[in-house]
Amino acid sequence: MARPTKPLPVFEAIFDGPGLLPETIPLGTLTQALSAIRRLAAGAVETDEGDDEDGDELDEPTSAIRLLDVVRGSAVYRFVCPKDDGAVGNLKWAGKALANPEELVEQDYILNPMEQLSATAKRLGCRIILKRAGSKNGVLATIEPESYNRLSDRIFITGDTSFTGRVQRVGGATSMRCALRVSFQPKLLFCLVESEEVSRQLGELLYREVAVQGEARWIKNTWKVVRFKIKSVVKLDRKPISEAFQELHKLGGYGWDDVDDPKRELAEACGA
Amino acid sequence: MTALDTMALIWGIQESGNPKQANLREMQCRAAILIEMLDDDSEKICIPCISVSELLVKVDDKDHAAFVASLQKSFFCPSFDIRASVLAAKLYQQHKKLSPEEQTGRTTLGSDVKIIATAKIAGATAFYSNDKKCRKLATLAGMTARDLPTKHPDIYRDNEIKKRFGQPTD
Repeated sequence: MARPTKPLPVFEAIFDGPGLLPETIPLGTLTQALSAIRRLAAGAVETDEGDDEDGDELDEPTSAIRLLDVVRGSAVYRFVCPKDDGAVGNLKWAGKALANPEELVEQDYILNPMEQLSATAKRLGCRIILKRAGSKNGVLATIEPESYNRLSDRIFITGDTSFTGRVQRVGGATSMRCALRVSFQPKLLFCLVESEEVSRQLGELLYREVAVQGEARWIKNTWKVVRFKIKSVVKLDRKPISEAFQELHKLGGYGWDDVDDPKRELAEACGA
Repeated sequence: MTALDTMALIWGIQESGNPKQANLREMQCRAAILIEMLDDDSEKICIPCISVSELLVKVDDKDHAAFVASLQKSFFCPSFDIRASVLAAKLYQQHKKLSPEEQTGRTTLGSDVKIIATAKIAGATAFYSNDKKCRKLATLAGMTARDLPTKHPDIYRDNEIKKRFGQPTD
């Protein structure tokens, strides 16, 4: 039986640094970098945990990206994928976003892989050039050690906020984390947790409705939450509103009963 | 999630009331109808912190902590955060462009835009207020703005609530 013909590479990643050869890159670092390149080329957001109940959406067909070969002399990794896969287009978008972060709106899938690749570039003391295979001028994106920092300086807004959600998971082997089902996005929101105490509180509230307060990082143009650290959590009781109001009346809300004109009181409270 | 303006909350919390208050029993009755409807739908209620501070104005300061603790257990009380501040500014600017009839002219405008922006950012999709101009602001923020209902969809419960507040029944 004839051996299948070797396909032509579609794009390649060059780890461009002094003395860098395939065998000088630790396997763990390489694995992480290749995973980041795969996510960047696939052009879809993947959760940090990667095991959302929605499944590993990058398996097929979007991640039909395969490593074709490795070229020694430098560390060049060649990839193959179907022509209509959109990988080259996605990598090109990543390059454009690096050049002009203000235009990054829908392409937020680049953030996690870009952070990973910048960290890899820093660790290896190199830059990672993603280019069309077999093309002299086909550079799609160049990731340098500071690329992610430059990007994040320009596209993120950070601040304290609060929202409600349902606790779906709590824990984490390497860091304290929590997954919340929230109303503002269809997928789970994976959050960091500030302290063990808060993590324990969240654990006790598994599958409950809670209000969380913490520090969010949003994408400037879309206000999409890309990172959230939970600083405190409050359980929300599903007590009937009428009962809750009766309790508030007893706890001092009766002070409104005797007021001549509540609207005027409110206006005065507002400084009018 | 649903938000109510501070007056609707006050009518909901009051049990008796000073007869000098305009339309007191009618508004308390409408607030009660709303509360039952929201309970029926298991609706989550958002009470922005700015509303909380307004509610506390007539709560004795020795009761503040207990009142707030109870409030937080049953309702989501989001603070006026950086994202809400952006929306509040936008609302204020949009409000200035409205015709004079549509502008609230309210002395509480600054507080209203902050409450509405906070509620919207916190995820509220509906806003209840008896004030037409306040509802206009809520609409500008992208929420469905409604007046307090005058009838409960269930006629028996509607009559029951109205009797409780001495209001005419069907």
